[in-house]
Amino acid sequence: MLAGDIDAKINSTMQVIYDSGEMTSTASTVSITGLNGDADQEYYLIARIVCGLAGGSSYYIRPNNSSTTDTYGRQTLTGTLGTAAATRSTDKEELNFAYADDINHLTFSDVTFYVKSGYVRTAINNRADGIDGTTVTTVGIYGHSWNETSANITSLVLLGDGAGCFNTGSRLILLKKVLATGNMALSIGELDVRGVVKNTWQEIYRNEFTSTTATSITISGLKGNTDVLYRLRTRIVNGTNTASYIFLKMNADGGTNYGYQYLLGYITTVLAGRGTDTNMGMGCIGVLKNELGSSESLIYAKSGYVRTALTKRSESVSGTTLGQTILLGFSWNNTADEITSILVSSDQVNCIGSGSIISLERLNL
Amino acid sequence: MKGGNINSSNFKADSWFKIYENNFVSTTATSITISGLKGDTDKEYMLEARIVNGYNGAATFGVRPNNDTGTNYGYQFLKGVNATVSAVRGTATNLVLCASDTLGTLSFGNMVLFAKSGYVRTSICQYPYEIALTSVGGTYIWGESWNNTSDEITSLVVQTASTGGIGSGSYITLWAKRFHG
Repeated sequence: MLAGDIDAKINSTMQVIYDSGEMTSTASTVSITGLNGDADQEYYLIARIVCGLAGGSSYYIRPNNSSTTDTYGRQTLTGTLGTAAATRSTDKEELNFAYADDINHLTFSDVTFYVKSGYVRTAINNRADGIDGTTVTTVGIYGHSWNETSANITSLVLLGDGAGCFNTGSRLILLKKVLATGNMALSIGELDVRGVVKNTWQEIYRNEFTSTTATSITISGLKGNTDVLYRLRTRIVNGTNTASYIFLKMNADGGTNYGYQYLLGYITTVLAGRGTDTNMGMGCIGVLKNELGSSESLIYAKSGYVRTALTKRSESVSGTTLGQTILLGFSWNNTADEITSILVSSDQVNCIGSGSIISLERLNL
Repeated sequence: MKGGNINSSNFKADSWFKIYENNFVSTTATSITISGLKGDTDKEYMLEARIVNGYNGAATFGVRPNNDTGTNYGYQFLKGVNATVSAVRGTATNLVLCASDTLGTLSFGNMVLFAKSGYVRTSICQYPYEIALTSVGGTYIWGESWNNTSDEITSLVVQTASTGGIGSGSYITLWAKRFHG
């Protein structure tokens, strides 16, 4: 069965069930209610928060608004400037998923949360904290636990360190794994959709280099202010026998308007660093032909604020030897222009080799 | 098309579709096989697992495309354990998905895999591990590779060397990107 655009609950997909929109006034808490964690099993939260508090704020999730002392734990792994650090806490009263260090500074994070009761609830949280202009203060990955095994999660309350902690422009989006079966569902065989599927991630650009190479490609015709969120995945095969590097530019902006904070592992060394650049680096793909690197970036694209991205990279892969594994937070210090194109480029001619894959997905809000 | 609920057997929309789900209720396993895959058509997979360690000791949970048991996998990870950060590079007999050290503790892994043949297959995986009560034993991010360029992936075996390690309460899902015709 062929279909055009679809606006429905699609079984076995991940769909948006809550979207705050960009907030038009400040908020102290955001309550996402009407949930059924035991049926849904898993939630995915994307948060782009504009801090509303002078001096900054952490941001928290309380399932069922539970703030019982000593019921939340976490293990952090972070990079701040040149320092890589780890901490463990076992005595928290909420799940800390983001942080911004001053009023109007940003934080960009995601949380994958396994919510079904019966066991301790667990979450993986990637975050770029304290973003202002071309400064990304900290990038990190946190593992979380909520030591409450019996209650069905029916709400998630998001809050910060004080009244008005969510400033205008903040946006919170929650997705869940959709279960749509039984008598109330239209059961059909194959459904081949040629249009837009609302509330899902859908690929809007794909380029597989089968026998060609390129120095760069431009993904054009984008509407960043309508699209809001992109997820870019790359698997780049080095088309040259030269050490090569892949990077992104929004609207081909080549000015020193990008900031980053990284955290990486290389053999037995852990490094962190912060800086500015003329692009968003997607990593080294090795020194020899057919070595490769892969990346995944979550990008908040809508104008009005500094644009933010979270990136995971695996670099310089050759056989069973890998180079660096890296987590990065990025900013593009342009608040005004709608993103209409993303340039994926290399620093070497024809470095994007045969076998490369570039995929851009949009979250259809 | 505007509707209520749609239950399609094969939803093709250039988007992610859950093609496998296993909730281990009152059962354990040392391995499970997700078969009938077409890696060269699907091109990308996302595997998630919340594992309850069913083994009385340390268990690492990995993924073997086509059940390749050879030392054909490479990795570079970084981790935080308590106040210590560290990194390791090496080779392995699987793509690591998650791990736990103690019977009954939890680990929650998320892996994205470039599956199409022609080149070394690569994945990026994250997990917190050894979770019990309010203690999270460690947080990891891995870059990994499967050094097989030619074979189409037709199965993924989620396995552990620790007998019965995939304990009751475990949950494994596989998502594939399904492209419209």
